[in-house]
Amino acid sequence: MGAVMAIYLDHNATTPTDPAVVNAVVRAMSESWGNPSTLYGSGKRARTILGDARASVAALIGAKEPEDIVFTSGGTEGDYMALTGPFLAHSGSKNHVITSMVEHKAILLTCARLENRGFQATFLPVDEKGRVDPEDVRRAITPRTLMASVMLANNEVGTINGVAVISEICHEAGLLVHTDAIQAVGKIPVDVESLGIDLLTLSGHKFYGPKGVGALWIRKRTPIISVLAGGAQERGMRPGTENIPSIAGMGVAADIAVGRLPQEASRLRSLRNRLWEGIWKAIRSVKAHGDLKTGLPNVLNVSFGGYDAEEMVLALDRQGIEVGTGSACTTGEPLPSHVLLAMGVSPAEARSSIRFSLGRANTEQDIDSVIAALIRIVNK
Amino acid sequence: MALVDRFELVQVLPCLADGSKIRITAELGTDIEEALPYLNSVIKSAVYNSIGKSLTIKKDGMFFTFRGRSINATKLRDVDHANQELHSWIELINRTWERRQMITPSFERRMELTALQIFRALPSTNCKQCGFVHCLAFAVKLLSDSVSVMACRPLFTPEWRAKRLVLLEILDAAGYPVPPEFMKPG
Repeated sequence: MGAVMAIYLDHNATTPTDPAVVNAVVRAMSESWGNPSTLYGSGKRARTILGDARASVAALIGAKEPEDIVFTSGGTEGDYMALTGPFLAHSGSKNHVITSMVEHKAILLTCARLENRGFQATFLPVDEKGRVDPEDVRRAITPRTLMASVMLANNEVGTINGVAVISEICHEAGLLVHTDAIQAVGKIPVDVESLGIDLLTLSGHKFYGPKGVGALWIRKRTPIISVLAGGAQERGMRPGTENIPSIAGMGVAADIAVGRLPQEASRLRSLRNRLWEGIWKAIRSVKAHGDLKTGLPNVLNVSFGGYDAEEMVLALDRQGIEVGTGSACTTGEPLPSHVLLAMGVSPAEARSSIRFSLGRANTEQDIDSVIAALIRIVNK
Repeated sequence: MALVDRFELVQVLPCLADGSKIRITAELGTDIEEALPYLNSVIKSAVYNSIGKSLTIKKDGMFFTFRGRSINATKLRDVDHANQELHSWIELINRTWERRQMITPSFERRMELTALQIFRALPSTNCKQCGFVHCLAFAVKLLSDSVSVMACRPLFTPEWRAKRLVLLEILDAAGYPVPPEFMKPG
């Protein structure tokens, strides 16, 4: 007897692997196991897969030159490379990076490590919607600033930043610009030329691809050195024999995402809005965070006043519904999300917040079931 | 007779901070709320919360939170490890309770902070970016856990990094929830 599938509403944490992606991974593993750096037939087959996947990922982000895509092990590695690589390449006195308070841990902790080694970091505040003010970026620039890193879309509340404007400001001052686009790619149109950035990070498992694979797009002539030492793979930027099966899978996921993007964004927005309407009509003391009008179409972050988020998540799980919280856990008691705190949400409200992030398989029926389950929980 | 004669592991989940470890909840056969102030007195690293009636202890990188009928713990290796630790803590609870006539209970929150201590760790520029006129007013709100330290924007610039690290450290030691992303990395 098959297991009953849960209603999954945590697509910002990860997405189910698309069956076509699974097929591509298995096929690559079975038929194209060669080392792409070799001269003979099996190597060539592997190289072809690399090339195809690179073109597919490039198309997903509007990159004109596929060779500007560097495959990585995922978003965390891409973020680390994007932040440390330029500093490794820099031989002058610049030692300052500008970022925001609401970035993913991969960015924040890399900046913290840089600080520990004598570099400097400014963590910019955000407004009540979670947005970075481009003028704050401008004000933070000093003669020692090398680069800025501001995420395109926030993983917890879905807020989208004005990265194109930020890029313009930074380039005027001679800075490099990186954006963590991990949550945006595959959900909204992303175009590296319109954004005007120099570096972009993406991750396969956020758009129905495999886990453990991602990419860092690097604009040509960006001064950056690899953080790894070894072979010449990925133009020397990411030494190590390539993970062909996962890269193949990510390429297929990229193709599917490109095909589905416009209609899927609209469908998810409609479902998300249905969820929010159902919640606030039925339950008192709820508050949505972020910007539902302009943010990611699939994200809804809600505080349920007076309720503990972790207990609600577990209660929903018992009813076959899987959702996320933004909390981190260090003492056995969940910590409130740093993103919500930075937006001015009180610690108590932040502790009662749940993130719903919708995806391809979600239907109106799912949404109605979630609303009914929430009502049962709060009425207990 | 022992205060606690049985416990049951009711929840085992992956630890959010470290995916290779687990976090657990154990339910106790007896309410130990009365024993917490005695434990607070005996265990010098414990942080007692008299309002929430809980006791938090950090031990070898693990965290244990004791409440009336439960123990939560994080960063344990596996279920066997959890059971070992729980047995050990319950022995201590029972021994402490047995000796309670000889122990002066402590209801104090260790590392009790004052608004002044927090104020001293702030930039003290009265820049009003936090929405308060004076840094001391912000310190008072921070003490009551009704605002987040992240509202103090200057703390997150290079100029005030040293103060930020000190402030987060003292807030963390006093049992306040601080965003670990902005503390000194290990």
